[in-house]
Amino acid sequence: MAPRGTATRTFSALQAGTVTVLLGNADPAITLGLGVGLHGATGSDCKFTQTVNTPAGTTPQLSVAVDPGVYCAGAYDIGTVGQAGVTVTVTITHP
Amino acid sequence: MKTATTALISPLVLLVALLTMACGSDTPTTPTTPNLPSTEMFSGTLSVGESSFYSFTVAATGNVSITLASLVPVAPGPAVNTVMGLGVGTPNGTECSVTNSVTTAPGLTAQLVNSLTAATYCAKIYDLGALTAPVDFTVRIVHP
Repeated sequence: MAPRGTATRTFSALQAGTVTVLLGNADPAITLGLGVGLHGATGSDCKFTQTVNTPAGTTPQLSVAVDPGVYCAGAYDIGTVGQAGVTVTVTITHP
Repeated sequence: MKTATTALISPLVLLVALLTMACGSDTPTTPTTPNLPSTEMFSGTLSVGESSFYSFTVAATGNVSITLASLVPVAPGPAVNTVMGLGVGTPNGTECSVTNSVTTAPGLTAQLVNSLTAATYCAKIYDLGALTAPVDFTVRIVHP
């Protein structure tokens, strides 16, 4: 992920339930923004519903109830990403 | 021998199968296409004290689910948890006459669910006085 960038993925929840998002790794180890939401009208951007600034961890930093639908989640730069960028691993669990 | 037997039986089996199919009493049914709900996104920017609405058409009686999904001051920045007004009603000129509403923070489960008949309706988002700066909002509408 580049400076001022975002790294998000789209996924479908086939039924109501809970979505969790885990920033499992950031290399180099920095604090990043982590968010979950849904795409806007154009479908080209991720409109976050919940966000948190967090370092990588082992337990999900975000958890949100959802209806069936198409959602997105991922990481974004909060001003901590250097010119070399950062490699992130984000794990999303969903119904 | 095994091959010969198979050669004799196979046409009989095929004939029985064809007769069974031809004489069946099942009435052919017309395939039906399930009426899947439509999902519409209503996005924009709301300034302090403002409201905005979006009109949509319900094709058949059913549940209409409206979700205030996102409030973000500066994309892709942090989301805010501000409580807003969210309503559904009927378009009235340049206004939306709200008939049912809730006060809610953003979430990903519908905060407003109504059973509505086929007609044109509007979804409205409005500042209850909690906004301190403009926000980009996203509202999801799922309807028959």
